[in-house]
Amino acid sequence: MRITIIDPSPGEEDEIIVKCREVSDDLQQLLNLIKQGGNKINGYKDGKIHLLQPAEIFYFESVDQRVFAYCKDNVYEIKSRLYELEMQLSAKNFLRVTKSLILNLDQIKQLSPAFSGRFEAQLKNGEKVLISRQYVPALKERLGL
Amino acid sequence: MEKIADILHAYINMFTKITTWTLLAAAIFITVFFGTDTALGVELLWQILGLTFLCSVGCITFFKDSETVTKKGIICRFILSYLFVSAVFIGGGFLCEWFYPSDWKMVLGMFLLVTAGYAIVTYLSFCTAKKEAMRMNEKLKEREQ
Repeated sequence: MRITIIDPSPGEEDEIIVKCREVSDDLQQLLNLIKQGGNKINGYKDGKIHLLQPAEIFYFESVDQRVFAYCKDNVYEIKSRLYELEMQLSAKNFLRVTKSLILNLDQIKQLSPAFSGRFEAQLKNGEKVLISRQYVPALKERLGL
Repeated sequence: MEKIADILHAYINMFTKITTWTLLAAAIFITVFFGTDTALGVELLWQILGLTFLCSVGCITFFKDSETVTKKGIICRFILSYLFVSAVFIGGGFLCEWFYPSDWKMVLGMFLLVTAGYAIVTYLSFCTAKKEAMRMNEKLKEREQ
């Protein structure tokens, strides 16, 4: 792929133009990153776009093919898919804990056993989310156990 | 592949706990009702292993990893798995002629041992998970410092 950077004329707005035959998954991921302005994540609520800091997000959940970010007081829709967020945020203390949920480990207040190998995470906002047995080994690994 | 390993690990864990208790329960039952100088056939060992295998498969099935389970659902699963374990050991014990159905003391003894076994295995599983949760909570605290 050829990358061309053009110096805009004075007064002209910075612009990124993507010339392609089709938007592949890789390209879509790249576009999402650019749209999100680096580390921030675009959250949609009431027709407005909010730039969210990953640290303020408690968890992402996929509900009926739509992904939502749960913050302290608000819930935002995210246009990325859960697996894209998982890849994007894997180095930022986020971890997939069920098929439909990515959790911010920094927002866990306490873990307690559920039943049959599952765990329940009590978050700093008081919410409780279930950690599926399948993802417990990854959680332990991330915590250094 | 990871899912198979997870199921296998959970199964072996359950099988080990149930087998240990069953052997102990068999030793108590035989000592109380038949005395210490009773001659037993090798088939008893295979019968114990067979019933334990069946029991472990059932318990794993009742408690398979599910992301949407309510408290009512959990209680329901515990009741169903207890009924299943009782049916396997009391029914299996009857078929293998471990006790005389006409002797109410033997039937009661079997029932009590199955109930105690179920309670102990459940309690041990909970204690193991609680210990694991404590270790993870310590690591979470370390991350915050």
